Amino acid sequence: MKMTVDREITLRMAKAAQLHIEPEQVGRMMDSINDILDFCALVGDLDCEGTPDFMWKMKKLPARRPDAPKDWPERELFESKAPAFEGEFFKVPRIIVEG
Amino acid sequence: MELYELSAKETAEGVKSKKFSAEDATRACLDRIDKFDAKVNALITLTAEDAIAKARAVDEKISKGEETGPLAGVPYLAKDNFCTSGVRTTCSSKILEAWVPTYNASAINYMNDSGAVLLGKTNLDEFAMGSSTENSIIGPTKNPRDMNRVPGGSSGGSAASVAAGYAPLALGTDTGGSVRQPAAFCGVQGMKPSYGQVSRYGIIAYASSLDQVSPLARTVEDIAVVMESLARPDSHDTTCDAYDRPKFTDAISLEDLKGKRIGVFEGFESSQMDAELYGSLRKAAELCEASGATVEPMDLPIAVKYGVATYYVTALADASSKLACYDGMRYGAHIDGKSLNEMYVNTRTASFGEEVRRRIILGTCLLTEGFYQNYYGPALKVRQKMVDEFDELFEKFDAYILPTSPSLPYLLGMKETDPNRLYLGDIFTVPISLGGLPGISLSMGLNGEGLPLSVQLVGQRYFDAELLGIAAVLERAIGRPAVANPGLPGTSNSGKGAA
Repeated sequence: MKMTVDREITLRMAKAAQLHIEPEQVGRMMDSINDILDFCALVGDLDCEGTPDFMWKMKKLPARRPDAPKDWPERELFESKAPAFEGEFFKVPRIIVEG
Repeated sequence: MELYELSAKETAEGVKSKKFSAEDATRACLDRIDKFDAKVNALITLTAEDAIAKARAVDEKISKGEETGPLAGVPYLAKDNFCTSGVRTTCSSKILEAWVPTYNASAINYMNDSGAVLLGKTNLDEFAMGSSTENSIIGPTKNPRDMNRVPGGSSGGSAASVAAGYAPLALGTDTGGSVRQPAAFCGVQGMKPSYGQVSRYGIIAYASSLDQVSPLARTVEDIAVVMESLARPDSHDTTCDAYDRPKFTDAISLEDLKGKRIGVFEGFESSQMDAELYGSLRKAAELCEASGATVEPMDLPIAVKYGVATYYVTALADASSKLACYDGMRYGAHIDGKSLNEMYVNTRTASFGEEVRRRIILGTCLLTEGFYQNYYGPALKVRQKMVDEFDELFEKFDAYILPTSPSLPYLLGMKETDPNRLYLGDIFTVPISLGGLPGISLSMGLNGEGLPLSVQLVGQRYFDAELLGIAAVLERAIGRPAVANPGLPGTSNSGKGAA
């Protein structure tokens, strides 16, 4: 079934994706999403009764690595890649804000 | 022949037999980059000093009589979405503009182990989302065969580099045609292996259920040599198959196509695609027949009608999940905010380009209640129907010939405003990706205006070696692509041409 988004859904989707859309750009984003939804609704037209969902099949599954903790001697190297780091932790803003 | 014109195999043989050194071969390629890349703009990062050091190490091993690997001293380039330890990896995005990984992608390690010399990292559409290599933080790459045109994408920097003689080899990634289409636009050979053939570990993902590491070269033989280095089990990637691969270089010694059954795609009106590309399809069919193959028309009604829509639902949903990891906290760009959520939003909004933001929002939409049931769920079933269609045809044929692209390389800046029409440019490549099949874009020479012609060869999943064999037979009849001299007169293929 073909579906569309309105301005409210467009903004809700952007919020879920942790993105901001400037008010003057919402209409353009909404139209663009609706164009693609309109085109992609084709996937609902094919009779797939009895067809299973697609899953990759493999000839031979890869060996699993041992599920065990291991040391990371490069810890400081990884920490150095973080844009903001303090002590032993990634530096983040307050998670709970007042008001 | 100049050193930069040699194939990878010829370069490795020359280095090993001390006809010239790995350093000579590396410097010849670096000179080409120095001469042309200010105009072509195919490279994001050049690693010249490291390359010279690596080449000298190869030369030293050879002088001591030590084992050097099948790609000893062969210069190559990698798309800038392969993690390279100590070398920045931008994915053409502001969000990773200054990021320097701490580890190599498995494919980079395998190339190192084979003796290859990394010259640098190539341009791409941001996060591999695009098909023209115009959507990048360093600006567009130009097509070395015609500097007014796009090189295709998203691996346009890698394809342009191989065409311009920066290196005999380059690595790209192919999600829905991102190596095959630029190979076709730049007049080189490009192969997307079967899904599961090559490890994706250390590749910055666009759509994990489709992405494959994919080589580009000027000869089919070089593709086979690289595949032998790249295709192996890897416990770091659970989608990388653990089966024993065949010897790809043995397969290309195939002398003719006697006994082969080749299907030639006829499910698209000739008026719906470029006439010369349609002619290339006919020419390839004739060459197959002349080489002893049985050639019959074939069609892919489900794949052609539903492939692009299925691909976009699948790829965008994948992308919205994968790109959630860019949070401005652990690595990459960071823009402060008053709260955690505000920091996420500020970082992602300012650091992802418009096309990437659009695809993430669309992918998020496709995975929410209602949209999932009407789009993502049905797409999973249609994808299985397409696989069934391919399997049924492979009972009749050993390989198919399809166009790679319905059009010749288009002019730079001709951004298609209707996204649906733009996506139809991928109509012949995305179904092959959805089915996990191996596909090779094979150069068919140049047209009268010097623009590359091509066809796409498609094989059964895991029959990559057999497909390379068929491609090698056709390449011998067509001629291998020559190096282009970007912006200079006389850029042409040595090939006999086609169509």
